[in-house]
Amino acid sequence: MRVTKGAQIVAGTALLAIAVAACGGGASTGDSGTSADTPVRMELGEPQNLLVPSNTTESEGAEVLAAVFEPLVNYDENKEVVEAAAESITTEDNKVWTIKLKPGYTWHNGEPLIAQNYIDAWNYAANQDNAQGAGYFFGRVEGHADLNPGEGKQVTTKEMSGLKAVDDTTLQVTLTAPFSQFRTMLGYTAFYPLPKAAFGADGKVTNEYGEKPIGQGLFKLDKPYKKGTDQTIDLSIYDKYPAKKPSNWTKLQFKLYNSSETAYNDLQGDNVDIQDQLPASAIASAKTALGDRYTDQPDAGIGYIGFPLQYNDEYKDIKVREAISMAIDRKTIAETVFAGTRAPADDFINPAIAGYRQGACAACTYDPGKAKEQYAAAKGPAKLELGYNADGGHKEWIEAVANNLRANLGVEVTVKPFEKFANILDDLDAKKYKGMFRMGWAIDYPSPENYLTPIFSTGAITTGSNYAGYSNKEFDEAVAKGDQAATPEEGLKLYQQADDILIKDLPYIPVYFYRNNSGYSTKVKNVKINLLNQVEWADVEKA
Amino acid sequence: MGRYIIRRLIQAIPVLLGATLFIFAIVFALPGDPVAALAGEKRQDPAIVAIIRDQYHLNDPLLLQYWHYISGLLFEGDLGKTFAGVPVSQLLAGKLQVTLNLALVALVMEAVIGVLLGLWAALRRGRATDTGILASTLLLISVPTLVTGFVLQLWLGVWLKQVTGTEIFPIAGATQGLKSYLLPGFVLAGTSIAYLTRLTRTSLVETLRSDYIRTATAKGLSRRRVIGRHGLRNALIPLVTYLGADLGALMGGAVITETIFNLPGIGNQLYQGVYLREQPIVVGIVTILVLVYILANLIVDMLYAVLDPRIRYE
Repeated sequence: MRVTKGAQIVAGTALLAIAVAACGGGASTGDSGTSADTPVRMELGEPQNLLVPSNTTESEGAEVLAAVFEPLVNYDENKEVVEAAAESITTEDNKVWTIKLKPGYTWHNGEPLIAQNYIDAWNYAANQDNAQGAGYFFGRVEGHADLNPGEGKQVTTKEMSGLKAVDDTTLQVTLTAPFSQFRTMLGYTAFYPLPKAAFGADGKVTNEYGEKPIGQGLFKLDKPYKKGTDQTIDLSIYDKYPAKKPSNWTKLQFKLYNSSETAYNDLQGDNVDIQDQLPASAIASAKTALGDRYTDQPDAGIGYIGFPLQYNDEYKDIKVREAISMAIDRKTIAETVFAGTRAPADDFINPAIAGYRQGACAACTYDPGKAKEQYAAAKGPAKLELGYNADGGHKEWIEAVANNLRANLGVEVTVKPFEKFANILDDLDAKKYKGMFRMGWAIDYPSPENYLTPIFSTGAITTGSNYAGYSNKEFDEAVAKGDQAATPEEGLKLYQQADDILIKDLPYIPVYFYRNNSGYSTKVKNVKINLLNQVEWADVEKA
Repeated sequence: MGRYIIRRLIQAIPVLLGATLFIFAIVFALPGDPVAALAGEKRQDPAIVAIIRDQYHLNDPLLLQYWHYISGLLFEGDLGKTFAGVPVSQLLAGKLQVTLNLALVALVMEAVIGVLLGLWAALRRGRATDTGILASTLLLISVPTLVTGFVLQLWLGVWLKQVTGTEIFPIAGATQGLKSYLLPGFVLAGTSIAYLTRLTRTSLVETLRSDYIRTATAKGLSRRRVIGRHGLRNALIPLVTYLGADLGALMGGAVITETIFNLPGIGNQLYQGVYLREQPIVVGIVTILVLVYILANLIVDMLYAVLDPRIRYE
């Protein structure tokens, strides 16, 4: 049988099918001009999860949610806490807090915002059965333990006893212990409320809600965000939003990018308006290419070198740790390895946050001569090991630190790459890894306390991020005093006392502070980025 | 004919099952905990880890996990869910479209440009044109995609827009239809264009030396007819084989191009899936790629008969 004809038809049909499929995607959306209808466009990485506040602990999802929700408090240019959705937040004893809601806020579906919305959201977030990433934020609320009985145990209640709606506009929160910084915490994503419509029949937040969250903030989503398919997240201003709105535009678009280098090219071509973190490769040229559309401001993150103090006595001597710290040339690392996207660290509290004191950490000053002398006198180990996770761009600066230590201390230094940071944690937990390790911290809420308790308190060894296993009663007490302080100013002082203990003990060595390098297109102006690295949308204007 | 196709499709079933099990096992064997990869650098609550592990059957042995996956796929057509709770089918549908568009644009470019250049070089064999084309293909092969991608994006994307004020080649994204795919398609096709040019040239030079070409010329056919009908058509068989195999390679190997031009395709998704140990994503994508390979090969085999009537099936 001759098959030429048949084969022709079959092959032709198949090709046609593919070609038709190929032409299906991608409608044209040309954008030009600066009328009120063209959106302000911001670069964004793909959010890790669906858009549910209690399960969003990464920056990209948080950026979108910050546009959709109004937090209870916000942070002004002087790093001060200011009420947003809250009318007032008061306490007598730092333990029982009364939050009064500002009138006028409604959900995007028209329902009024009530105190119970907060209680519903927080109880949902804290319940271990819901496996929400931000559940730990409620650890200080009374009754949190009942919702978190531990692995394999049954949760018997659905509510935290510390939450009470006094009336529709008043919320009362009781903490397990006094905590003066509670008001500062309330601006974070985890503390956003949820409307009744968020919950399905089984009491869980539905996937539909996660794709199109209904908020009570400045923007509402135009359509559900299909994660993986959509390249943009489109929002428009919610008409009934009672606070300040942008003056000359109404639409906001997040454009998703995989690579910040690509986004930067698009920024230069005016195809995207705001990029809140420029790639390191672009910093040098950005200053000239963008001019005054380039900004550089402190970012609240810190990078450290840590020690496994808990089980390796080699680092027990403070003199050894000091010598290692003094042998690191932070300035050169910040300027050359990081091209100026970092600043040399000189305190355990970051300059972006109130409470930072310039030059507080004396042992953070580069002094190779003294370092060598002190290291030899203290009989520091002849071999050092530096561990880092290879997936986060840490190789270069860890190598630089290793070179510093080799040259300045005269010791043998090996660097050890781990695949992910979690692998370092596993080896530390198993007491298997004896070397130093890299560590970083991005804040959960802009309070100096956030650089202390979660990383260095004795309690954080088991529940927090105290990977060094550092434990100092004096430090714990100083922090506790700060937690009970009557005024923020007094609290600040007490936290600084705790900070002084850290500087003396050096359980970690602070190496660098992050900086925020952002850029804007010619189409927008007055772009401000707040302490949580989120854009203040109401201030942004179209140029 | 029909029988032949059905037989080929039935043969694909064990290949698909084997490939899914193989990939599933490979991802399973990777060190590191998928749940730990979710949390970044903060310590997770063990109770929450236990609940997530339980939810995704991560404590089960390999074969049982595979059974959960494959039974869902076979009986309910369910490709599973990612850790973020998004159905993999939804995730892949959109991305597959983008990658398919990109791969087809690249395929058309390499077919047209490659064959034309090869034809030109073959007809000018030994002369300056031939040498010039061969030298430039060598250049194209030796420069990595990463470089061509960034350079072309900067020159033809950013720079051209800044100079002319209009976007001739979109810098990034897939929102402008076919236009969005031209530059990335060329970058992706780069090395293949070079290979195909060389393949066409060699194949055509070989064919033009055959007895039947001499016969055709001797019986007085025009040069155009000799080269087009007798030469090129016979020289096309190795090219079609190459193009068929290349479609799969273009789809699976587009990670770099997709990243540079911010095309939301499966390449990047595959990378993310491997990185986060998301078996459903990795297995889903690989299964689709295997299917594409099988189909492309089938089409190639069908085309043989079109090109050379002596080839029969059954």
